[in-house]
Amino acid sequence: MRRFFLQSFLFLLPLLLVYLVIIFKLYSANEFVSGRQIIDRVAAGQNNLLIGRVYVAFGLDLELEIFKALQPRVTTLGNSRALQFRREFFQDEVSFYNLALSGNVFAYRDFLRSIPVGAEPELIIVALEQSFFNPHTDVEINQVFASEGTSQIDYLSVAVESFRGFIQGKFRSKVPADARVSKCYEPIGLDAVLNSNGFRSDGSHRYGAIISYPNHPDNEDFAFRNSLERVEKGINLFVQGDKIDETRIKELESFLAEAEQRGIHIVAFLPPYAPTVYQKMISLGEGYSYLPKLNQRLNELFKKTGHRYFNFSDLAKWGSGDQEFIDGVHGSEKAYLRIFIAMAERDPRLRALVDIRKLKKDLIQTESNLEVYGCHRS
Amino acid sequence: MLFNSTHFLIFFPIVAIGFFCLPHRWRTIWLLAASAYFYMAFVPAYVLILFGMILVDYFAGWQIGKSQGRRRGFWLWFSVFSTCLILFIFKYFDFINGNLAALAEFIHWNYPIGILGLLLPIGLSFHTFQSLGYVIDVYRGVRLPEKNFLVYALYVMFFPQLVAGPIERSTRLLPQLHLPVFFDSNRVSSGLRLMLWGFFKKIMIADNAALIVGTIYAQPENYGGLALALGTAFFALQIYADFSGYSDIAIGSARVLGYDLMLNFNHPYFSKTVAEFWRRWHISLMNWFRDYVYIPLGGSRVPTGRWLANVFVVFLLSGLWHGANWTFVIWGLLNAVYLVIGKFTASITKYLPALIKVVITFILINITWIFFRAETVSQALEILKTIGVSLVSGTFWLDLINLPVIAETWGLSKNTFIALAIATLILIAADWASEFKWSEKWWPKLSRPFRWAAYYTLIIFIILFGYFGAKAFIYFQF
Repeated sequence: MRRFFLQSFLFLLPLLLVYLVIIFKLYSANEFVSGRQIIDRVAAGQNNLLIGRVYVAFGLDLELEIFKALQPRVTTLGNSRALQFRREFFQDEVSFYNLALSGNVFAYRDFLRSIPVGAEPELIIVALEQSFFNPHTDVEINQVFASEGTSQIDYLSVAVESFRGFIQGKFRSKVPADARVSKCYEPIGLDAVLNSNGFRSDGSHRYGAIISYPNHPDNEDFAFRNSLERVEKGINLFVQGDKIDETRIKELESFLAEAEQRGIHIVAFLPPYAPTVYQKMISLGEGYSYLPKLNQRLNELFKKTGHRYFNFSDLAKWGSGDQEFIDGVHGSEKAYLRIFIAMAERDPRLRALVDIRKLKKDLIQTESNLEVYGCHRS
Repeated sequence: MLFNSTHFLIFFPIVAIGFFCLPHRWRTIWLLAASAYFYMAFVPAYVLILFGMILVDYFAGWQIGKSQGRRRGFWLWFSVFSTCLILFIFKYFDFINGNLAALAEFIHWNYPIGILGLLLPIGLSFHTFQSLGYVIDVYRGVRLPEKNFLVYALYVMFFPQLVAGPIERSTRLLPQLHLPVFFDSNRVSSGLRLMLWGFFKKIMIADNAALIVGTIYAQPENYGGLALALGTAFFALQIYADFSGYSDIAIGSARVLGYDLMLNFNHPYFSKTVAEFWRRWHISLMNWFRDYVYIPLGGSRVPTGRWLANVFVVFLLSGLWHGANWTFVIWGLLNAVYLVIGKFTASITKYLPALIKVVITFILINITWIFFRAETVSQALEILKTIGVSLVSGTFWLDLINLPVIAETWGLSKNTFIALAIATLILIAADWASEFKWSEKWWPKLSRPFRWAAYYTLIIFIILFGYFGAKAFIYFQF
């Protein structure tokens, strides 16, 4: 039996050595820091976290716990196209947490009902993902307020994915050492340590590698090639259509009514496409005719309420350009500051929470096309 | 508990090490406890149903052994009835009830009985047959009733084969459970190798093929004849790799523990006739039907009309065993038709080259797989019609040009698809070598570094390209 175990050990030794390296790298990158620890640290006011775990998702379950602990005055709902709103956009005394990890409009009322009475935010910024109102969308609409990722650790999955990542070079940094933000952020997770990618303490997201190398051919959507191909094929957020789904409009209407009852002011918007991508969509003629119909319908809907609505689908009209976009559907922090200023100028309740003059100055003064506030505000 | 899960990867070494560390008198209890834990990972309460079945059949076997004359028959039928009643309630009640309700609606009769909607206890069909086999063997005098209740319970509950077979015979497994087992590094290595091969088939081949099959069969109306035919061929690959992979893991893990389970698959797609296919596919189930249904009905030693009925009865039951759905009934009956036609045309087909016979058999079996996989009979017929029409019209062959574009919609990345193709070739080569007994002759002669390199190839394939969405084995649903 001893000889058998020795031979088995020798057989598995190469694999064990590889995994030893992998586990060491993951452990030293704080990949296995528990969700509970993260919640406690953010709730205690630690503003310098950058949570970028590769093998353990930063799920909505975690974010909801943080939201409940912080009870912010302002929050955000929507999918990843609402993740660029930052705490720095608001005045110092205004607490903010970005909860955008689910664009499922069916679930927003679930979210409201999960908030205890008296703990409601004053204002919610809502990104209304255009494709969710297209009845032919190929995006799965779950009826539950949950992200697809869960913050539970599946060790078999970690073992497999980390090995694959190791072979595929994901354990090598994509950004130069001087561009990593470890000086002003405490990175948690491999992606945060190596690439300065991750979620900040305020729930917003930082695209580290793309900020460092905005025009790198290896970027997945370099020159918006991926987005333009999806527009051509009409897939994945770009399914064409000529109608809007009234069921989802009704659901949104119910959400707005319930928010009003709870004393919550909603500022909603259609998130932007990169101008090149948007022009491609428009050039297809009737292909995306649901978009102007959606805009009109939402205008009518919001006019009947006390809430505000904006259409930023074509951000070029608001002074932005392709250079301010991470990819074809995700604007940068700078683009979203532009959006935020436009909304604040036109919505009194939002304006009361910000210093517009300072924000405009920050927008003009920033040299980067993608980032405005490098590090977090202490 | 699934074999392809972290849970099992931790469970099995603990059970194996504990088994060999314990004195022989404690090992039955150890394995029984482990098997109960294994089963309770699915729906814990259902272990009570399993225990109930074990108690009934153990008691019935004991009574048959003690009784004389007609009382023996009484206890046999008591066991058969009570065991089948459980199977009927959980598996067939809603199917029959649903059909009666549809008939009642058709004749405008108010049918009052609602559905039960019970979750099928996992592996129910398998351990039902295994315990029925024991009672019948005792009745026939093939073996004496098992005196040791714990050993009998372990015979039914033995975790490697508990939920998806092989359906063991009391004359094979029960005696083994009494014998002391000693650690044998060659046997343990052999068992682990077989388990590795099973995991390769399941995780690398079956679960990746399942993604393609799932995409095509979810919306078959979106695909032409070629894509549907290929989807069916991928299903043939999926179900073989899935079920034989499971059997390999079951047999391998039992072998590690010192027990020998029966072979369940013998390279069935190399069969030259459908009859041969059914001697090589799910061998334990077909042997059970042969010994406990077909031969008692007279087998083939009866007039032709009676023989035809026997064949249809066996395959009707086999179809129903697989599932309470008309698709499985038709699947079973279609196989019966093949067997009958095959017998009557044997004198002609024997002159065909072996390769042609293998290809024809594979195509015939694939036609039955359409019914096995489809959600409804009408969906299966629609798929067959689309394939047929495309063959006649020629679009089937024209679609070959567009195959790369069609394949992009199948849900696998290009690298994984290539890896799946290579893995399938490895499977075919290994089965081929085993079919002609080459692997038995030359594999042991290969140097250790070469053999270890082969094992590492499988491991690397599994880790890099395997599908780890923890899909249950197909036959778990039976």
